Amino acid sequence: MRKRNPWIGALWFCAVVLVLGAFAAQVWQASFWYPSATDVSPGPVVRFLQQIADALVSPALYVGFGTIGGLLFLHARNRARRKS
Amino acid sequence: MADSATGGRFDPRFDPRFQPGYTPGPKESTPDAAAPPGSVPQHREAEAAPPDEVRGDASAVETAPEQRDTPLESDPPEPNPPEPDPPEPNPLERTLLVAGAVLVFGGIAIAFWANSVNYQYNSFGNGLSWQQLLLAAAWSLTAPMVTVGLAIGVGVMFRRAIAWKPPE
Repeated sequence: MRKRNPWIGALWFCAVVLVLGAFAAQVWQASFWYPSATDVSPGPVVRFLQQIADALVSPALYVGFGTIGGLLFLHARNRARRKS
Repeated sequence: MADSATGGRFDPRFDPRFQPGYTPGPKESTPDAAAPPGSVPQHREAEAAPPDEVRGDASAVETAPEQRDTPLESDPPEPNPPEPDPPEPNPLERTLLVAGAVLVFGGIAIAFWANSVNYQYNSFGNGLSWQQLLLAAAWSLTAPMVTVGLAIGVGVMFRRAIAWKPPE
């Protein structure tokens, strides 16, 4: 049985976490865009998390999708090597 | 030994049994008929070797066990061959990881700083100041810094994935 490359599994994990985490952070941030009249202003912890989400959402999406693309390239390369 | 019996007339470098003028003793048997001429049987090598005083080569005592094909029981057991050291991590790879971490955390820190300054600073009516320029630069730097830092970390993982070999 062929041994699986553990680094490829780790890369898939990172890519999925980056993409899904960025989507979740964006959705969470969007919930603050149209506050109702009864909503209280967010506290310091929420503001801190909002700033982190601001800084990380776009880079995480770029790198996550880039990682998936790179993994597909690596998969295609390994498959071509096995066939030749 | 035959040397002492013959008064040292044999060449000490070679087995006396194969030199002219040698007469075998009653205990000694003739060499194997199957052995090719000129070859010395292994079980006779120790006997055939002349004493060190005659050869004048003291180092031969230490090298003799290595030259034997079959080790004697008195020889100390050979120690296990040392296991090869694990390959040292590439120093440039470590530098890349440090640079990636610095870029990610530096980008986040710059974003925090820019946010805090932006909330405190009222730019209306003040014109263009150095603080505004710095703020604009920080805003433009944050996302690329974090992106490149994350990409460096993922790139190092890709490099390890490509260099990975299954254990034998």
